[in-house]
Amino acid sequence: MKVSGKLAEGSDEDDESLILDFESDSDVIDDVDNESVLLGRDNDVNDSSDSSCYESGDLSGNYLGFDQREKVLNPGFGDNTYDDDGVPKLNYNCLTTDQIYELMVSRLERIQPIFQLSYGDIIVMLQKYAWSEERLLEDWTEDREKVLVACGLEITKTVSKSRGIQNHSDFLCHICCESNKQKTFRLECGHEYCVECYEHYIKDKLPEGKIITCMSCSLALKNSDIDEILGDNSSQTLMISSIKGFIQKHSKHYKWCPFVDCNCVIQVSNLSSLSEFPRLHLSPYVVCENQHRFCFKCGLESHSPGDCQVAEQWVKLAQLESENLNWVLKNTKECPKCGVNIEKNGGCNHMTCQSCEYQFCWICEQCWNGHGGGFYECTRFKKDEKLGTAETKNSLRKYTFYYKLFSEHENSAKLDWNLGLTVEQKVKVLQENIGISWIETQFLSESIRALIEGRTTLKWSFPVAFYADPSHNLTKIFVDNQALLVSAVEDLSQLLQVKEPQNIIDRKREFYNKARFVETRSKALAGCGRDLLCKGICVPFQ
Amino acid sequence: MSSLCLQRLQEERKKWRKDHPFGFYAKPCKKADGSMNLQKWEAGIPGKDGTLWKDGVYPVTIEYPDDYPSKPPKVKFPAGFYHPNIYPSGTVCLSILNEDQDWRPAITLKQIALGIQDLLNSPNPDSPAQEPAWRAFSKNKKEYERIVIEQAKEYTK
Repeated sequence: MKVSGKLAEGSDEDDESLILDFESDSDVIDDVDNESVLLGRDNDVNDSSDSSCYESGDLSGNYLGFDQREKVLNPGFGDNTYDDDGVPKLNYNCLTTDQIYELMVSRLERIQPIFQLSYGDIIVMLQKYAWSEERLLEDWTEDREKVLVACGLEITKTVSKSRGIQNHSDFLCHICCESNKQKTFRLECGHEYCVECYEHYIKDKLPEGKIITCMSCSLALKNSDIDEILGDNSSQTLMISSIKGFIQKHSKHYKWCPFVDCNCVIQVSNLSSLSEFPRLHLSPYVVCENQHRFCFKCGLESHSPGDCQVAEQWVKLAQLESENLNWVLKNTKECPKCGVNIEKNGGCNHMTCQSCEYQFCWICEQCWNGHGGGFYECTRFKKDEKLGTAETKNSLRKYTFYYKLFSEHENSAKLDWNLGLTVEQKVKVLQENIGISWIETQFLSESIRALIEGRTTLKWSFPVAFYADPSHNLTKIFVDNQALLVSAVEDLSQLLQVKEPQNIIDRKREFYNKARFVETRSKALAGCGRDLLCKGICVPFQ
Repeated sequence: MSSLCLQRLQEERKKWRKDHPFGFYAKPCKKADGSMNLQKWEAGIPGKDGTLWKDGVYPVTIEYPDDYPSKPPKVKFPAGFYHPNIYPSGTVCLSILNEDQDWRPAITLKQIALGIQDLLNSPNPDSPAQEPAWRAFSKNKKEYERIVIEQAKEYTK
């Protein structure tokens, strides 16, 4: 692995570089004298129990250790603060795997003096310990020989051959069983195989993110060996996979952005405030670098006005029902009399319900008697009222109704997203051609964002409506608010359909107003939904 | 099948024919058309002398995946084989046969065969794979021994 920068010899420079990775916090550093930074550092490197006072019980995920520092630097961080709307403040960073990798490297530079080993060796040990410095240090101080052997850095019986790529004239590799091999690789254990086999083997192992060992024993290959064999810097891939594994293991602190093809990782530093959200029927929303908004608690996209419970129940229900439902909707109709679902398996439209023997017309769902043999006369499309349907049917129908709305708005949001991209592209071209400034076209991306967020809010308002008590007055207000948001969103969406980019620029003010309106309506609907949840009018049931 | 897998298996066969531990046998299966299927082997593991298992030669099938030797082969006893570390399906639970544990591309058929022979009389009660044998092994040694000896008779040499 290539580690740039110098060794950490208790200098405060690397402390700073560690924090500078977070742009948002870099301004804080100036206010704090380096003395306390140094103290903080020593504490959390040498004595793991010390650092636990910042966040008891949650240490397990803090192996990267930088979040604790933030709290030391910024006294206000640990407290749960609220914004104007009474939403608890969440402190988080958006990182990419590359950034995490850099953080790990700088972390490495800091702990290197303790081990007095090469970076390659420490990386192997950290991988073995799933990047938990605390555990590694604990075992290290207890029995360093044991740690070295366990990590595959030392072998018990000393064969001590030289390590690295060897040249031969005629070598028989025992993996591929081919002779005439010229280039081979071996570790100190003396197990020697051809480079092709090693390449094959390493490439296979890279995505697993675990220590890669000798093909015969448990001696570990270091990143430098991997790069030497493959002739590039593939060890970076191993590190990235290793980091992915780390994030998956510590999902309490880190979450992947759930959006397709987005590589962002959100790290929340004040976990204690996370617990505030459910009580207030709110959800901890975070926004990644690519402007994707999602809920840090359940990992779903933004699901306001519903809370996580509503979203969770709804998704569960959708998974459970959707396949059944799709089939039922496509292939069956309910018996107009008893409500049982009937599949039409022949061409004849004269149906006889097997359960209540009611005879009816498939087309108009009326009693067959009235047809008198001439079913073509049925012109009425659908009845409004159904008689005697069972409770379960009712709830299924209700669910279907809301599910349709939900998925329709989901689709629209996707389409709007694509539309937004093309419109943005057009405007970009225009901007270059006639030379208007970037800032002047910002209204467009803001409008698109407002539109998508409006759609998402709308989409998730249907689960809330589904679970809410329909007779309650507040539910009625909620539904009215829904309707208002629908019209606001559709207005804005329509505005975006404008073909000519010049028109878009001309109608800037209109965009602003409509986007603003969508935002206000979204907020109102979200507030209204929260009311329903807080007052127990909307209760997601199992 | 990749050429690497095939080449290696041919070599494994050659090596086995040249030299294999006493009492063991291993041969590739035949395909329907009579040709050799190097990816599926039949083998016999004798019980070690001086153990409960000594009277039997236990048949196993060894199946090599396409990405062998990156991935380990799958070794199976007959379904229902009585041993604490053998699943009801007959699949062997052994660390050297587990990709995530101690499997290494350099492990040969001979090592696998000897490893399984070793496992027969030294089961690992910490990773049980079936209930009856594990329960008897840890709670009722007499009963365990009786069944093992009985099973050995089923597979006499």
